[in-house]
Amino acid sequence: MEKALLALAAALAIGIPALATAYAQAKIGSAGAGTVAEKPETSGTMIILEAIPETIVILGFVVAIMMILQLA
Amino acid sequence: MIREMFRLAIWGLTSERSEVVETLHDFGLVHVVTPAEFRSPSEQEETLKFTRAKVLGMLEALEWKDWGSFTDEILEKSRQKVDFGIEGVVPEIDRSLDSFRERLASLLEERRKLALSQSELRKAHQVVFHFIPFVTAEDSPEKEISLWWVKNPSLQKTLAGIRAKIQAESGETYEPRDSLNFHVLNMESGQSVLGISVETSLFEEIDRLMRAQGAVPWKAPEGYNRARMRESVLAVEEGLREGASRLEHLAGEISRTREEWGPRLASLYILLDERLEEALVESSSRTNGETFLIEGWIPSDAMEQLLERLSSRFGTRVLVQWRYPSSEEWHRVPALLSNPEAIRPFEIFLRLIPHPLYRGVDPTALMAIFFPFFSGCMVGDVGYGILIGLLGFWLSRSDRHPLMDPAGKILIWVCAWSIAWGIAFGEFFGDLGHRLFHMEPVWVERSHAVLPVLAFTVALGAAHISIGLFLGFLEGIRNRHRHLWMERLGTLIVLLSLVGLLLIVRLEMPKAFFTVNVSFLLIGTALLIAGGKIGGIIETFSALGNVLSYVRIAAIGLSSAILAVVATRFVDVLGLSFLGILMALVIHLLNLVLAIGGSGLHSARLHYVEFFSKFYQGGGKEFRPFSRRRFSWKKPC
Repeated sequence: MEKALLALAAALAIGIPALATAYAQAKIGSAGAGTVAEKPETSGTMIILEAIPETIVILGFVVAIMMILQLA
Repeated sequence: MIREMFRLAIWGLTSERSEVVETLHDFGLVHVVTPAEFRSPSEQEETLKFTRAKVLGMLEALEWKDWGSFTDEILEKSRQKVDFGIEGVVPEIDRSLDSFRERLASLLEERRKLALSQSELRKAHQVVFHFIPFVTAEDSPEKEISLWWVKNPSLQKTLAGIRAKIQAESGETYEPRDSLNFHVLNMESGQSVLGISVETSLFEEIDRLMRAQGAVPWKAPEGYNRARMRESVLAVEEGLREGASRLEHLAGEISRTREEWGPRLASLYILLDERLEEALVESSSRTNGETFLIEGWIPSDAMEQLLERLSSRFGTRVLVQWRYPSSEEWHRVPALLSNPEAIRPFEIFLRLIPHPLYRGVDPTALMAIFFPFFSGCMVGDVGYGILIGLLGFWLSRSDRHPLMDPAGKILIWVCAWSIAWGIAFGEFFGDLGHRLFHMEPVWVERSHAVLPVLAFTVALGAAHISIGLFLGFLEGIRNRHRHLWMERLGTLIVLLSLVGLLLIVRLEMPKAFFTVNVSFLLIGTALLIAGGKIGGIIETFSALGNVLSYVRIAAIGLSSAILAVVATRFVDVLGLSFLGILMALVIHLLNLVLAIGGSGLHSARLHYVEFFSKFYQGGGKEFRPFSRRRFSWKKPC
């Protein structure tokens, strides 16, 4: 039971931030596409902005890995 | 690094102003300062702008795009031929251009009309093509052939109506089907083209009937309609053939004109552009009767050369003064980056952010060290590293885009670190190296020993952020910004104290170390509060978050390593078959693309967001030398 809960926690640790990141990236992406259409020179900045929310999912991934290691 | 600048002032005789400006233009290392006040353009400037726009318009009409092949030699030859100094040469060029433009416009207009006509003929041919056998078979003096647009649902009703009409007109009892020959072509638009062939005496009645039923007669395009349908059909076919041949001839003629005139017009465009720049500098110089004054900025190491050049051409008739910029002027001095050849490609990263200040830090060298190091750590595979190196080599040899060369050289740096980290992690296309050559990791196998790699990346982050904070501290001292240096130093001390505390607890070090460390922590906090008040405390938490953000290096690397292992496992599952090898290659390719994109993007992000925020100050002016176009010249904007 404890193992199952740990596995579930690991899944949630990466799943929820992944959804949140996807939501944020969708918003940034649509705004960024509009900005790039107006000012093509901002494309580099937009790529960087698009990558910013990934921090949360990467941290979630690390937490999940540490939980999985406990399982092992 | 950012090159040191001198403020420059050049005085000369107004009669020699054009020559002095031309010399500065040739020299190409002076950033000319133009007065801020509004000045209406002179007549000469307007004429030059107009002629330049005309030449560019003609180049676009000719569809000449070969700017990349333009060389300095071609430009120099043109420069020797055209002397803008002669009075009235621009209007003369303008008149020649008008004459050439008329000839070009007539060619292009003929091509446009012909293309339009061909488009109509092609549409007509879609119908004609299907009716050629019908029209040929039915063509006779006793019969009249006509084609009609009919809506699909009413087709049968129309045909029945025609049959009834023929029966009524002839008064005979034979089957009307025998007297009506027709052919139907179904079109995509829900309509059909109905071709009918009836006796000439019946045609008028049938024509009335068809129109009454809403059918529309099909006609060949204007100029191709003939008395008999067969002739119209043949005329459309002939027109299509002749038009295609004429179009080909025109395309050849335009292509020849493009090849012959494109480079000439392009060089004329560049020369006009250069002359316009000179005219702008001349008219924006301060003139006081017999003398003029031009002000600007020049790299200090180029001063000697400029003096030599001016004195060799003008002797003592030109007076030059220069000085170091005062601290009040620093924000107005243009910043010129100057880095060794090996790390110059990394300057492209600064194009995405505001230009550095003259007295700020140029982070190019630091990016050259850390960017490939981080990217290589994320990729961490000898096989992928080699492929990235090959890609980098190819890009650096390609001249399709000015960014390809620096991007290629950066990839070669990433390749070197990827191979080094690949050796450390013992990876060659995942575990393929281990399977084939019994390759063992020099440090750890990151897909199994996750925690050491995570801890290493956090330590790397702490070191990187500490460097950033130290640079921020130096910036504060150099620019006499008390709050900035106190805050940065405070954050640095607090960060290092926290790391120290962690080590003391972990390594169970003597209590004395703990006391010293806490003392530093208190000093750091005091500096933080003195420098940034509550904001300073928040800055420390932000710095801790920044350090943790470096864990992405391990996380992305881990996912890349696992994906590489998964790719190789496909061969285990599917066997050494075509499908197994194909799947493995596809997954490796996907992983390589993700490795290049992800590692580059996240490494750049770590610099922009985490590292630069500690010391980098943008908002500086870019150094724009008053220089002639060189071979780096590409299509004008």
